[in-house]
This record gives sequence, structure tokens and C-alpha cells, in this order.
Amino acid sequence: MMMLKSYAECATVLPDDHVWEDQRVVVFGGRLAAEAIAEILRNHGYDVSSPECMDEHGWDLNVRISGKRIWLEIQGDSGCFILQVEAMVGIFVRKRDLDLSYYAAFLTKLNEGLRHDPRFLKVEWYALDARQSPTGDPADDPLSVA
Amino acid sequence: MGIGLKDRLRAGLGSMEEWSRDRQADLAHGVAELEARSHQFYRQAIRDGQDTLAQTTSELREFAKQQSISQTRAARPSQLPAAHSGTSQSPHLQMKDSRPTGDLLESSRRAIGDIQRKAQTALQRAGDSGPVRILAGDAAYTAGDAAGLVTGTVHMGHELLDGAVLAGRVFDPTDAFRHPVGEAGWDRLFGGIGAMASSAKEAVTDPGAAIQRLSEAGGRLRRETDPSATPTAPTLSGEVSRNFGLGRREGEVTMEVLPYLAGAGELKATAELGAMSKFSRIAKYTKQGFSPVEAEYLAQPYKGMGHHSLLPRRKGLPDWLGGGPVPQWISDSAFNVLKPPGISRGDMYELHYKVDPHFRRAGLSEGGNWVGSRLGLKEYGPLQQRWHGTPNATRRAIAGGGIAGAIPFGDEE
Repeated sequence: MMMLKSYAECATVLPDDHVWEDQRVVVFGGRLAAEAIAEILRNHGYDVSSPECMDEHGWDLNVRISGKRIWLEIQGDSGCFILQVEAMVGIFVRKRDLDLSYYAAFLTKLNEGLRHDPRFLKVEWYALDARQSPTGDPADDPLSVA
Repeated sequence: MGIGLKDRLRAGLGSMEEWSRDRQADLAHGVAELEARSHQFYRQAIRDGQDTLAQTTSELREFAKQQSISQTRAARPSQLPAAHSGTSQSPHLQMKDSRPTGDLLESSRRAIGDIQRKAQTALQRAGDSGPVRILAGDAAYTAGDAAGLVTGTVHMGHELLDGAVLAGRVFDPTDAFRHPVGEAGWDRLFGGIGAMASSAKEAVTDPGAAIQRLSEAGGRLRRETDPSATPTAPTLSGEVSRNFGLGRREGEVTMEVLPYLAGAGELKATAELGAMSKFSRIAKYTKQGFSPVEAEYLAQPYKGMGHHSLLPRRKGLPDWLGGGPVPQWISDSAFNVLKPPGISRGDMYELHYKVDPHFRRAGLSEGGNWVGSRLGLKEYGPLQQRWHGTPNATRRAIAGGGIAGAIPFGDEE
């Protein structure tokens, strides 16, 4: 059974791009990482939206594949960030009718792109527990923790 | 014609306000006189070598009352000093005392004086009885309530009068020429309409906040006017004074709250309440390990987009509705966004972390981060996420609105 949600923690050489004013956050970080990921995905031929600021949530990307949508969210930090990915499937779609091969292909290409891009130093994928918290040991392959 | 009516109204309201001010002055005068008499008795007792101890104002007053009773019983009326003739004696009666009189007037004066003293003694004795104090306190509360309604109405009346004057200026063709830009009647009218529209828009777009403010005003009313919130005074006059003040405050606050209930007037922010709790919030965040700068930042009011509860931002419309993002007026409505009014940034992050598994961390000051898991916070389970994460506007709608919807509950309160 393929999971619809994936979670990764990444290390990056990209600078901390929080925007501060008087030591207060005005714009949350993660935009540079989001733009870099969008670039990687576009290079793989995906239709990727521009990064969208979601306040404390970070930065969102939306990828469209033949009418289907994949959502990514980047919560930036200094030197690292959290990447959350989810295949947006309608709530009325029966599980047995789900064909998530496009999502598996997407995760594989995303993982390869991150690993080969010098802006990203480390990518660790985690399984999520019932409360959507990362659990277990990190994996190099997102499909192995599904 | 209109000006004459306005003048009469203004004069009438002015005299009501004057009357109210006089009654307050009388009350203050009576209290001050009582205090002075208490100290006088106490000094006399010390000089006379009496064994007495009064550590509090209440004890001092009680001592003065006992002294007054004993002197009233012992002394002949003509020997009583002027100050002993009763705390409630009005300036009018003192004026009568000082007038030159004939035999008939003199005997009448003595008769009145006797009645006054007997009534005063009876009141003081009655004051020793708890039930009597309570009954007298209830009566004083009612009287104070009426007085508060009067003063509150006077304030509102002045505002209405200002509006009437403004209305007159609006229809005065020379007004715009006689007043500088920004102060002419039309300018003020448009400014007022803008402010009202702004308040109305806030009430429509954020009904939870409006209801919350009304609820807070109601809470303030209860705290400030509940007789059981303060101890009963040991004396009758003290109890009457205490209840009169509480009742008067209730009347005034009722008039303050009225605009909320009527849906008119400015929706007052409760910034002072936020300021009161800000220091305790800073202490909380400092205790969590944040630097003073970070703690202060976390204690600031939260102004982010909130938690999109029923329809998360990442969700889109289904294909049979055309796909694409959920329209903003739905996504950002008060029925979908959990954003408790007045909540601090730090508290919102905690709430957000517990109800939304996708929110895990946020940047703070340079180099610092808020990470829910590091604070030992536990995320809610799916059902709790739904319960705690549902905005109150939605809960009220589900509950059927009305009275049920006004009941505050959950994390938004």
C-alpha cells in the first residue's frame, strides 16, 4: 500500500532566508529551498507552481500531473528544512480505485533530484505514525518507508 | 425650532448629570466625614487612656460607631457637639440649625433634632444586624444601579446630541465653507460611515471576535459588579456605600455593553486584557527555554493566517466543481479558520501544533526556532484535532446559533 503522505528532513547550503525586522520574523524561511525544488522538478518536466508563502507553515508548491495534484510544503530553518509531500486525492475516491504510480514516480524523481543537486547535502525520509509525526529510522528512499 | 429642542435636551441632560454628580459628592462627603469622626474618636480615646486597638479602617469605623452610640446615650441633646448629630445629616439641615428662630421654630427644631438622633441611633443599632445590612445593601445596590443607568444614559445622550448637531451641520450649506477640510460635517459623516462599515465588516468577517468581545464585556460586568466578589462591610453605612457603588457601576457598564447588544457603536478591542497577561506569557516562554527576545516575540499578538481547519489550504476543489483552489472567501472565512482573538503567537503555535500535524516548527529570532516536539508538546489525536481545531463560528453554527452559540468553549476562548 502506497502512502499518500511523505516526510523528509534535508540539510542544505542555501542561506537562511527568513526576513527579520528588529529581530522579528516578517517572512518565514524556506523560499530559496522551495524555488530550488521547483527548479529540479521543472527540469524533470513537471508543471510546478511558484512558491506561495503560508506564514508559519512555510512555503507551498503545487505540482500538476495529468489533472492530478501533488502538494509540497517546505518549513525552512537555518541550514536545514522539513519537506512534506502529499498526493491530493479527492475524499470520495475509493482506495481500490487509486492509482498512485504517478506519485511513486514523482517521489523517486524528487529524491534523485535532491540527492544530485549540490545545494542539498542530505535527504532523510521518515515514516509517519498515526499522528503524522516522523517515526523510525531515516531512509534514503521515500518508497521504502511507505 | 430644532436648535431650541436641542438646547432643551442638552440642558435637561446637563441637569441630570449635575444631579448625579451632586449625589456622588454627597456620598463622598459622608464617607470623608465618617473617616474624620473615626479619627477624632480614636485620638480622644488615646488621650483618655482607653484600652483600644484599631488596626484597620473597618475597626476604626466600628470603634467610632460604638463611641458615638455611647455618647448619644449619655449626653443630653443640647450638649452634643455638632459633629455628633449624625453622619447622614445633610447640609440643608445644618443650615436650618444656624438660622435665627422663634419659640415655635426652636421647639420644632428640637423635635426634628430628637427624631433625627433617634433615627440615627436606630440605624446604627440596626447596622449591627447582618440581615438588616444585607437588606439595606440590596436597596442601595438598586439605587446605585439606577444612578449608574442615569450617568450612562447621560454619556450616551451627549453622543446622540453630538450626532444631532452633526446632522444639522451636514444639511447646512455653509458648513463646508466655515470648517477646514476634514472637520466639515460631511467629512465627519463620511469618516463615521467608514468606521461603522469597518466595524460591521469586522463583525461579518470575524463573528467569533465580535462575540468574544461581547462575552468579555459581560465577564467584566460580572467581575466589577458582583456584590459577593468583595467582603460585606462591617457597618450599615459601609454596606450601603459598597452596594451603591457596585450598583452604580453595573448601571454604567450596562450602558457600555448596550451598544454591543444593539449591534451599534464601535467594537472595542480588549487590548488592556492582552497587556495584563503579556508578562505572564513572557515568563512562560522564558521557562520553555526561549531567550528574552524570543519570549517577547512569542508573547506578541498572533497575526498570521491561522489554522485552516475544515478546508486546509492545501486542499483544492474536486474536479466536479472545476478543480483549482478553494475560493478565498470560503477558505479564509471565520467558519474555516481557527484563530482565537487575542491569542499570542506562542500560544497559537502550540495550538496549531496540536491540531495540525503539518505544522511542526517556525522561525523566531535569527538562529532561533520554535519546534513543537522539542517543547514536549503532544499532538492531539484525529478526533481531538477535529474538536479543538474547529472554529467556534462553526461550532456555534452546528449548535444552532443563538444562546447555545454564545456559550464559550474550546481552545478559542
